[in-house]
Amino acid sequence: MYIAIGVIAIVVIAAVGAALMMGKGSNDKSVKVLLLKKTSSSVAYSPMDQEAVYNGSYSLSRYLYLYTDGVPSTSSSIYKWLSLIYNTTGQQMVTDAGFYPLQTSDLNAMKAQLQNGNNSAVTGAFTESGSTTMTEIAALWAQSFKQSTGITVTIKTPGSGAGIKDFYNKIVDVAQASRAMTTAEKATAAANGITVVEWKVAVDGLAIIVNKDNPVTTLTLSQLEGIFNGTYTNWNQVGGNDKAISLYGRDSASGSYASFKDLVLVNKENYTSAMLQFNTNALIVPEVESAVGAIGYVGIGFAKEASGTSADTTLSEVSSPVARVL
Amino acid sequence: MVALKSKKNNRYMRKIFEGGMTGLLLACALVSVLVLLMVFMFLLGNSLPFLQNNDIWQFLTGTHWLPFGDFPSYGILPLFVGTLMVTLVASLIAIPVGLGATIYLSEIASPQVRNVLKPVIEILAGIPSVIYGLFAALVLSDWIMVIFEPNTRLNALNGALILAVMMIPIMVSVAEEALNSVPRNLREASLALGATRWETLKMTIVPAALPGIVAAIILSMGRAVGETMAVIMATGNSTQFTFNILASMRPLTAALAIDVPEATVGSMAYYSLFAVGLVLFIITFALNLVAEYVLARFKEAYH
Repeated sequence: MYIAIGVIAIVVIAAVGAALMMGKGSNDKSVKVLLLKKTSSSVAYSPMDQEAVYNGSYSLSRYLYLYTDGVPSTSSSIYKWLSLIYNTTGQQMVTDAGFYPLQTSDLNAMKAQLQNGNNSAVTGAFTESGSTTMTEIAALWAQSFKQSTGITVTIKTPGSGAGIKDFYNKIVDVAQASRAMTTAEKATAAANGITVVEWKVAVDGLAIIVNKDNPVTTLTLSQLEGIFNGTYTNWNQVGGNDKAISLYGRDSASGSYASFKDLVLVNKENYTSAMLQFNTNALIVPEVESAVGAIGYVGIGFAKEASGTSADTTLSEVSSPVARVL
Repeated sequence: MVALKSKKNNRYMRKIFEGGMTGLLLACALVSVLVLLMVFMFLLGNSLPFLQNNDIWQFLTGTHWLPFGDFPSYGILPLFVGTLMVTLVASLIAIPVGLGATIYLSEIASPQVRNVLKPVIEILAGIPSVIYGLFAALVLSDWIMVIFEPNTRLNALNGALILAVMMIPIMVSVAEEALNSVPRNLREASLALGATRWETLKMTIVPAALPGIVAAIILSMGRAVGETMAVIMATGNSTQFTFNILASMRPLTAALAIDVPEATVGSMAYYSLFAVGLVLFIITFALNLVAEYVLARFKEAYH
């Protein structure tokens, strides 16, 4: 009886609270994607500009990878998996997930690599582990794969580093990674009897996102480096308002953590310890939305989603492909 | 003669049976001791390679926690301060609220109110910590943003507040038991001497129940030190060394959970994480020892 009253009271309070929060959720929040330039006198590029990401004009471009043990033979499930990824549907899904498809030259090279495989160990269902950035893209492939071949791929996404670890410890059949395997990881894999074969499957541009109320629209690579290594702590040091910079990045198990570090912290320095660390891209976006001084990095798919859901002004601002600074 | 013999036999059998049962129950009791020993040896064994090859003083007082990369640095001071700040602030909030709730529940509330409130508080104890974490990350952080305007929504205060909420049900259930077990004659004697209800509470019941109350506080602090999921989601996990409660911090537990997936088995980073685990183990162990000591001392004083 009394317990019932207590439970009813909780439910009522919770319902009222939820209703209040629903109202709050309609607030139009969004983030802004920054343009990057190599030096202060060069042209600034957006990660939304596909051509710039392909040819390296946008500095933070990277491949997304799969890793397998040897080249799979035609009877292997993994052969069918890679075939799906490299056909038109698979590459269209890359676009659907917000990333960029492979360029024709890369695609042909990968298709050539897939010929004459001899590892037929994996038939039927198999497992894949790794990058959280690739969660959505892998889910799209897996769904289509299940429909066309009936084969189930079980995918877990603990982060690229953890996925590669699962791969070389033979816990999973395939690793998905948003960074290339390191020489140390390749050596461990070889010691465990694995012939590591690398498959480029998509192209990503790491997007730098800031709060939409931040007036800064462009940064140079060295300014970005200074922000993430802790040299700059206030936006007024890089041409913005007098507002402390708060940094949002990924944690050590993430491929984005490693690839951003390689691409931006070019003097081998560490991230500043003031950087907040998250285990998914999706957690970074709401933090940047709500803190005026925030800056963070996420895969291009997440940046498109986060900036595109908002008002038109933000959208047009980020989709202008090139900004020329005179 | 035959009957006598069977009786003797029976007694003999019973003795063996009783001996066997005693041994079995002793074994059950020893399992927990054994598990404790094994956990300790597992932690110690795996941290030894780290402790032998690194300066322990540097490990304890270093202010940079960067176990990976080209130039690793294994200073756990920022992590330790993270745990300390979060637990301390959580305790500062939880102790008065928890004790107030306990005293109200056990001494003041009418049976009807008590019968509603108690199950509600018990439900609070049963909510998975990830739900608390979610609440802290999405709701509490917004409130803190409005009130204190910190640089980052996720910060140590956010973690401390949610830990305080998690500490309260544990504190209430243990402390309430302590208050209830104060002998009835103490209470009646006090009232008979002309003390008011408040004076009885303040001068008789609470002092008599103090060991239980202290145990309740320390147990809930142990919960706060060991909590992982909620603090990972609430504190933002930056590794900076700061005493600013509005800055993001990474407590020891969060560091273990975040960095273990990346550590290659057998690498120095891997062993360093075991050393962090060892430190965490020693902290909770020390907390429990203090609780035992206080309990023993107060018990002596009252008997």
